[in-house]
Amino acid sequence: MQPLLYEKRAKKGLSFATLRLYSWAAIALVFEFDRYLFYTLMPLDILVLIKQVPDTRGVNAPLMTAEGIVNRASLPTITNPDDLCALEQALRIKDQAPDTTVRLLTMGPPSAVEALKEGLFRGATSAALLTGRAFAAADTLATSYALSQCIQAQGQPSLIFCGQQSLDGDTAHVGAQVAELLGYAQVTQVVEVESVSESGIIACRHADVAEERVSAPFPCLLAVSGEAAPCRTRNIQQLLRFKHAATLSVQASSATPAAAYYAQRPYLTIEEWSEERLGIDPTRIGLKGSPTQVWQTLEVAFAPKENESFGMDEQEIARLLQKMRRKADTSCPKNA
Amino acid sequence: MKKNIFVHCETVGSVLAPIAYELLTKGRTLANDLGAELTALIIGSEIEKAAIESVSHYGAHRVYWCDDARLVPYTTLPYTRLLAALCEKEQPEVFLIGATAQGRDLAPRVAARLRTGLTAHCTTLEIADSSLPSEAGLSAGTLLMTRPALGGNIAATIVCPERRPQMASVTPGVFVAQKAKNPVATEVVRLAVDDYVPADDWRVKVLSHKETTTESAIHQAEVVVCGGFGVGSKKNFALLERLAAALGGTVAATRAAVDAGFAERSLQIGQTGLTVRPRLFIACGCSGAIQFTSGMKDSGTIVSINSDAHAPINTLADYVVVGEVEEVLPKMIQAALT
Repeated sequence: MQPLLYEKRAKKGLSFATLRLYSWAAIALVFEFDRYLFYTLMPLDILVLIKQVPDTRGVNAPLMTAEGIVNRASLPTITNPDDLCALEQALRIKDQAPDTTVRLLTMGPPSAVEALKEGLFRGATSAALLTGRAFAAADTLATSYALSQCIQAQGQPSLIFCGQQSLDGDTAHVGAQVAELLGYAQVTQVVEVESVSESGIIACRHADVAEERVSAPFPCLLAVSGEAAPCRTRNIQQLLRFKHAATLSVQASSATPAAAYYAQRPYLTIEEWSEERLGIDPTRIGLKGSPTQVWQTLEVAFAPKENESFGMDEQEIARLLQKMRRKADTSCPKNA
Repeated sequence: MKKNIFVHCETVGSVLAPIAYELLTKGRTLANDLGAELTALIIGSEIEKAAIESVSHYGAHRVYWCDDARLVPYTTLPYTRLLAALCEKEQPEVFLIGATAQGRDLAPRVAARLRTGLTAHCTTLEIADSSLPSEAGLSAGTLLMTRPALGGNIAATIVCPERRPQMASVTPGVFVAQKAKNPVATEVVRLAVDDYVPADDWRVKVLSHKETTTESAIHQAEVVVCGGFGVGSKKNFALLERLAAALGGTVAATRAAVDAGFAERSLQIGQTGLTVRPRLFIACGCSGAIQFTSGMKDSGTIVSINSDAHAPINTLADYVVVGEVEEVLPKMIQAALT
């Protein structure tokens, strides 16, 4: 049997910062420790894809401008919730095997660095930003192509985590498409990583009305659903450590510490990838590389119906039931 | 070569899932509009002959059928290989896949392999009419695919003007299955899985598969009593069950209620849950967020019980009671039982 790098901890387990175990049996007896912790022979390299999205859950301003374009400025931006669940699963592996690297990657405008820093504050090791006007207005295929090219340029990880779907696109495409373009195995709608070995992972997933346990060999991509455990909160040490993390272009500005400060702290540099640096095929990214296009958008508003109100006393309720039954018997659902 | 519309017919055990028939119905309409033929793609294990033949009642001219024990439970790579290979061979105009757990896993991978466009969770599919001024500029045979976006707050119409097939995924319950007036003669082509799928494609393995519940009860119900965050507690949810029993219906829940632990996720209605259209829908303590109403707005009669007179759901409801769920429901149960 393959030695297990990590296995979901038992409810009674205690947490330890390092794992040098010379006599795991004795320690297990003394501390009631998890039974399957082994010292990792090879540190695992994990990449987490994240996205900064408008918070569509709190819509409080008109969504469309007068020109009929979606007014994204009306919505606050957050790190996509499913992506934070994905990060949590990666961090849990890192908890068990501290030499694991958890790298973050996002594609977006320079402001997307906020989403990366959020991930660093929660416990990720490093971050990279894929940015440039040529990438803008991309559909999911063009986005996935750009991300996969960047992943190849950075060095392919054994394991990629991403969120199942984003609040703005809602498509759940990018995970599967990045996996296809990289030739990785994929498991989607993952709710928990059960165990990690040297050759692959075992994950639990929800598939509509079924629960499955699936094994996938490395390299593989796991798309984590919003039903998975929520991400841990910011860690004060990580927050202080990465407070000034920035891309090289931002480091040069006067708003950040001097160059010497960054030279002494290489971990603060957020890698920046552009279309020039990647040498990427321009016909496969951005609007040009998108097989789908938006033809038109309409704000969804239900025409308010004339409705009838009923009071709360018994008589009124009885009247409601009567009317309700009569109408329901005669009314048919629409589009029948 | 005659044009082709492909429909991925998801299998459940030895029969086809209901979504297959919903998509075949829509595919038939599109095929008629395009002057194309309808092809059903069936991949599974030990599919009943009757299930294969059932597609002829929905207008499928051809069935590609691949049957092997290794194909169940579903894993991504073998299915992707089969579907992509068939698309490359037949060059269909349109490819419809259900937005089930399987479809959401499979469709984007097939689209990436074919380097074509995929529109997810479509609620409307139509062939563009270039004679209309609003649709001039689109070539003949372009599919207009409409879907909710930005959390359900906008409806976007997407096109895939150049690449083929134009792929669309559709949530179950959006289209209604309907048999064709006359069954057609269907050609059945059986495929050998090893002709297409290399050994490496079997590398992901399902170790265990456990059915947790059947969702069909909610889809088939004529009366649905749905609880939202306003129900307040798991205990109060029992009131909904009693009302549903009194009215001969079934319970459901909004995402807010499920996240709060009042009900199981299998009961969830909305954009990331089920779409239903019962005769009678009683919304108890549901605010009426667009992501929720998209899953029930086509119900026959809608009743809303909410302590907030200005809850968005009230613009959708036929009958409104302003009050707390735990006060109103016992009275409704009483009235329903007399």
